[in-house]
Amino acid sequence: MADNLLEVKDLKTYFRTEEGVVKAVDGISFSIGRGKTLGIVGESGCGKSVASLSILRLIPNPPGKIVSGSIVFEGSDLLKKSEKQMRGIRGNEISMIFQEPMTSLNPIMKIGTQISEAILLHQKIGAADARGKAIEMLTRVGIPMPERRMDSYPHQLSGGMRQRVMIAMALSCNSKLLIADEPTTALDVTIQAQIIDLMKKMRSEFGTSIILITHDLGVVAGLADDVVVMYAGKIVEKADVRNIFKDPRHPYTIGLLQSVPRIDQEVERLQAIEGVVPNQREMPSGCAFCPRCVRATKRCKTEAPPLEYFDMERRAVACWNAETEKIAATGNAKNLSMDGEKSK
Amino acid sequence: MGKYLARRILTTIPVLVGISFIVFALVSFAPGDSISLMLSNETVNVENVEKLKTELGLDRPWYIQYVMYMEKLLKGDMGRSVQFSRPVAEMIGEKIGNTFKLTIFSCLVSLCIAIPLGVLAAARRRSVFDYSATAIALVGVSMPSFYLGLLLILFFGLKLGWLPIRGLPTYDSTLFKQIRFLILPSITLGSSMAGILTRLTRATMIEALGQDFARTARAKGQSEIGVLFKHAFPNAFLPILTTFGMQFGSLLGGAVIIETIFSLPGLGMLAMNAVKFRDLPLIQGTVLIFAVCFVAVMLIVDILYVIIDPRIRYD
Ligand SMILES: Nc1ncnc2c1ncn2[C@@H]1O[C@H](COP(=O)(O)OP(=O)(O)O)[C@@H](O)[C@H]1O
Ligand code: SF4
Ligand SMILES: [Mg+2]
Repeated sequence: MADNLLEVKDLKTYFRTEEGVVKAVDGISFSIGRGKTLGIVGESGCGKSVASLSILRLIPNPPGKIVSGSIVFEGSDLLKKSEKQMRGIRGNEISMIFQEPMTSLNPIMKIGTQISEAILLHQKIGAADARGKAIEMLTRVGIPMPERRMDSYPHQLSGGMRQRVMIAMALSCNSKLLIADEPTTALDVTIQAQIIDLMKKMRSEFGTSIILITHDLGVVAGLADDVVVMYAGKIVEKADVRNIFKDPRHPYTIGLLQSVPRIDQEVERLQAIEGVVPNQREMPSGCAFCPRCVRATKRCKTEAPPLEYFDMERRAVACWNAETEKIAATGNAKNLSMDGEKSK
Repeated sequence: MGKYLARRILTTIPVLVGISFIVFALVSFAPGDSISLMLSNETVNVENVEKLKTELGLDRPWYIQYVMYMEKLLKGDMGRSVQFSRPVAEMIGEKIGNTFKLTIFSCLVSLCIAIPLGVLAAARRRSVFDYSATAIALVGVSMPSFYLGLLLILFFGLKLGWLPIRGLPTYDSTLFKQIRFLILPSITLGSSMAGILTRLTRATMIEALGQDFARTARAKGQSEIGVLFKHAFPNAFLPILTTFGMQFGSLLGGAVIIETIFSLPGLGMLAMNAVKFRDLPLIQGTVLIFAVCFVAVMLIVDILYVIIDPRIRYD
């Protein structure tokens, strides 16, 4: 735990809307080690983007506000920093890339200018050197003819190329942490694979830690070390990537896994989780997943399950019936009762 | 880009032809006997009327008349003013400079008010400043310009005596000396455009500030001022430019009234006089020039658009 790059504790980000307070992120905790990749998964609207924007303190206020928690990055709490200090961190220590490569770049500014801007904001070098550095970054992210591309505008590039530009920009100051919010969602499948490969390459070259946000477990499988599963603003399961796929405990995680297309399965048999993420007004008083859960019992309706740690604090799940899940899944009752005791 | 520009410039030709035809038709098909107006009362008789008609080609079919009109127009001959018996082109030439100054200053005034006000209102949304800016803009848009003009004359001109309220020294006078005379008319004429552009600037800036690229800029460590001026404003400027072009038409229309209120010897006053005396060639001439100015401004706006926005280049 000691040399974690980032530790988020009990983060709550709420939005004040006309329909009342939306608890977009409601008390989440996670950490990420140096050089590691953490996947955050969950359906659209579960609070992944809000969580990641909270780390950079880029939540639009109003209506949003980080109401409590701490975000300790390299030993100091980002929530206690001044806006000016945060500006020194954004794009320099922590960078972010976004889902929409179409709109995330300024449409009327040259690619080169946009990358140089990031460099000039954080490094005491001249415009010519910044340009050289920008060209170098474009080369490293695999953009052909980087010198010529410097003078291109975003609309002259394909979606995949734009995302490469975003990555080049994000890593131009050797950030220690890269937050990638659905970096491949808007791209078609072959391009997705290329961008994932690029992120792997960049991770090993720069030693960057990555928070990879996605609703696609397939992307997580290829890239993440640890996985956090979110549902309706809360974390419902945490585990290393192997266990998420081999031994998922939360019914929601299991549902997500069943909705991932697999080569050995026919596409028609793909199962989706029935129902939708509840909106804030009709949030159930017990477990938020209850209306959609196949395992739901009476208790689930009234009491929200806490996130319980087990397996030497390496895993956690928030579900009253997770143990039964385990019995059903593996039949390893002995192992389970140990876990069960720990979580009670 | 050269190709695009050439094509854009060529498209103005049919527009100009259309305008010339409308202006021609306006007078040719207008009710009322223009001929008798052109002759003084004593000389109105059948013989004189017929003579003048032949002289002016008014006995020929309308399309021949139009061709004749165009032929003259292309040579720079816009006919003679009935009232002053002087070539219309010459009279317009004398006055157009003053109208040009008035409209340029009015545009400057409205842009200098609207853009800072709109940008700041967007940056400090829902603040006291924002609400005041919106209120000011509303006043600017909704107050009739002649009324505002009279108020300004009363207050700054008569009560405080700070600024001249009428006329424009034309002989032996530098632009600098003239500026004092142009302040009140420019504010009056520019106020409605200022109001419209303030509201538009605020709206487009708010939109631009909420765009993904603004978020990207913040995420790379850009300050809010940097986001505002480096990223949001250049993007917000495009719709502002378009509306500016459109509003320029109303501005020209407003010049007619404002020049009359402030006794500014410009095209507007010329047109007003021409209408009063049913001086048809002069009406024709001034309307034509106003229309051509508008087309020219729209052309400039489009060219600027192409220069600023790389997305619409070439096609
Ligand atoms: N600017 C905002 N105003 C109000 N509610 C918001 C805003 N941004 C996000 N939310 C709410 O926060 C919740 C989580 O959104 P988000 O983090 O974008 O989900 P996702 O997991 O798809 O990234 C949503 O229910 C959304 O309604
Ligand atoms: S607590 Fe109950 S409703 Fe919630 S996930 Fe577990 S079994 Fe389902
Ligand atoms: Mg999202």
